[in-house]
Amino acid sequence: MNLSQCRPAISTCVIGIGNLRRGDDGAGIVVIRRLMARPIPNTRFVEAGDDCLALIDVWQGADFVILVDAVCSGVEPGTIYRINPRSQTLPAVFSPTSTHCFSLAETIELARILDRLPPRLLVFGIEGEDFGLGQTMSTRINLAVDEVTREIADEVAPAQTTLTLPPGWHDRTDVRCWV
Amino acid sequence: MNKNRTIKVDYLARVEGEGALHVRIKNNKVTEVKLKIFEPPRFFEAFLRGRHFTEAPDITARICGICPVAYQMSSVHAMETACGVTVDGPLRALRRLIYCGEWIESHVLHVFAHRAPDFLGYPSALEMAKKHGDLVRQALQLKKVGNEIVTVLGGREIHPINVRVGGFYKVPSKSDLRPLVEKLKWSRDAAIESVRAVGKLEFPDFEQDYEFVALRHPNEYPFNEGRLVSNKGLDIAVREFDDHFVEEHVPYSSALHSTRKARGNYFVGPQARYSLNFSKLAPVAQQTAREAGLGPVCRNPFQSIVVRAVETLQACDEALRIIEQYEPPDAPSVQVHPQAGVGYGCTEAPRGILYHRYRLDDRGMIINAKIVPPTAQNQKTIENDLRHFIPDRLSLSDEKLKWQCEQAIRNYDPCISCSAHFLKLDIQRE
Repeated sequence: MNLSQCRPAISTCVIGIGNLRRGDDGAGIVVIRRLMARPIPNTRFVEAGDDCLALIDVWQGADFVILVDAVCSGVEPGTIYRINPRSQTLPAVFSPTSTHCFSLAETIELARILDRLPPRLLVFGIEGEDFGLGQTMSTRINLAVDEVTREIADEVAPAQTTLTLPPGWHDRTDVRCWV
Repeated sequence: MNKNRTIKVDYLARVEGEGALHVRIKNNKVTEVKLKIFEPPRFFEAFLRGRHFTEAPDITARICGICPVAYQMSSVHAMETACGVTVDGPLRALRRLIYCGEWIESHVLHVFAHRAPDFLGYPSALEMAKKHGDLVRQALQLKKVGNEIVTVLGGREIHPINVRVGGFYKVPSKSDLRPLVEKLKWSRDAAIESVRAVGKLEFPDFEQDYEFVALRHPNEYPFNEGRLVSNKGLDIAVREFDDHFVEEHVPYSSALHSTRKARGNYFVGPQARYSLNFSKLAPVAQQTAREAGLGPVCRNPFQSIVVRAVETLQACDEALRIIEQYEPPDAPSVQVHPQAGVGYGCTEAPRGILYHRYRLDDRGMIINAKIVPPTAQNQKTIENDLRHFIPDRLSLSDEKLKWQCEQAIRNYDPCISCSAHFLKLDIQRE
């Protein structure tokens, strides 16, 4: 059996978006780091900054993509949004706070137009409270981050094929960071 | 049409950063044009005081997520001149290579995401993609190659972390660069197609007698070094910048306005570089530019989209040449020992000349710093363009006039984040 035959058919990419130096904006990144604490086979973890346009290439080839980002919509801090963008347009809360980068919502719409959406896509939004420079994450957001981490782990684990891997073969977990 | 009217656009889209434009029209005459940059001051020059000279490339790179390489390059050159060091050979070539990557990233984003929708009549790149999917797919692929160059040399595509005073922390092997060759050959062909495509767009008939300012090097299209020249008689060494240019504060902008002493506004950026250095472009870039209808000098700012496409081609061709000739250096950097003095650096950021000046003490601590970004230098020229552009278009409805003014500003691909250290558009007709 060669390695390519070992690889399960399903590949998953979990992408956290945010900036750890902007308080609750780092929520997506923290989710990624908590998920990485235990190996999840055949899953790729990515930490992303605010230029979401690059994500179209990052998720290329993945069958299941999960995106996590902090949002600022005015609802109770810690509120969790869970959206399947294949069946609905991402709401305005995922639109840009910047005029010079593609937002997550724009990137998903561009991917939809260019037929580059992954077969399965799930977006988690975590309502932030404090996006101040140099601030640490708020306590209430911390709890929401735990909850999203659990939900993603539940989503990802059943998606994996059970395999007996050859000696020396380690599950692949890539991390790219341009925060 | 009312001779006195007020037109207001709150945020000008598809430019880098936050700002506004205020235009007052009285009795069908433009009486006031203010490019208002309200992005808060960034204080980077103050942050740099008391920091070690080796920290400047990484601190200043944070000024901009679009052109961090430019900040790194201007700062390392300034520090090296202060310390009496010259970096040449493969390290110099690698600096040009990483700059090629940044030009490709920045220019492709501007041409296809920011500017092409204007010419093709779409409100956004998303709407344009519905009808021109292949164009956008190609642009994304082209931009990705720029990202990959910056990643290979800089460690990551935004805010690279591998540039240091004296060279790099780690240099690539030939095999690290090899995978880029085929991608760059594709990119060069795609860039030629891009120039041809944007060359066919229709441009307003609008030319001005600009003073173009750019670097000029005897043998190369400028990235990292050369003399500062203009088409109006300027020909100075970089260290003489402060003798010829002055920055002034205007109450409505958090970005300082630059002027050439005793002359006034001037124009930096791709169009200035191109018009002052056409003969230094690669033959393929010169030929493709001519086929697209550009002469050796381009005075129509609306054609800057074509010039940026030509410079993308130039960057792809130059990157390919550098990689094919690359032999790794003996060491990833040369030693730089601090000494008291003043260092000057000026390199060609995607949007034009970026000037850095640092005074160091004998331990290499920064006593003071001065940074003059391209958009700050172009502010007065943007305002001047609008003063001449609007009068012929006063019969347009407010909405159409606003849209055309936005386009006239986007010609400059202004990076407000850098200059403030954008864009709200407010036109008053009285």
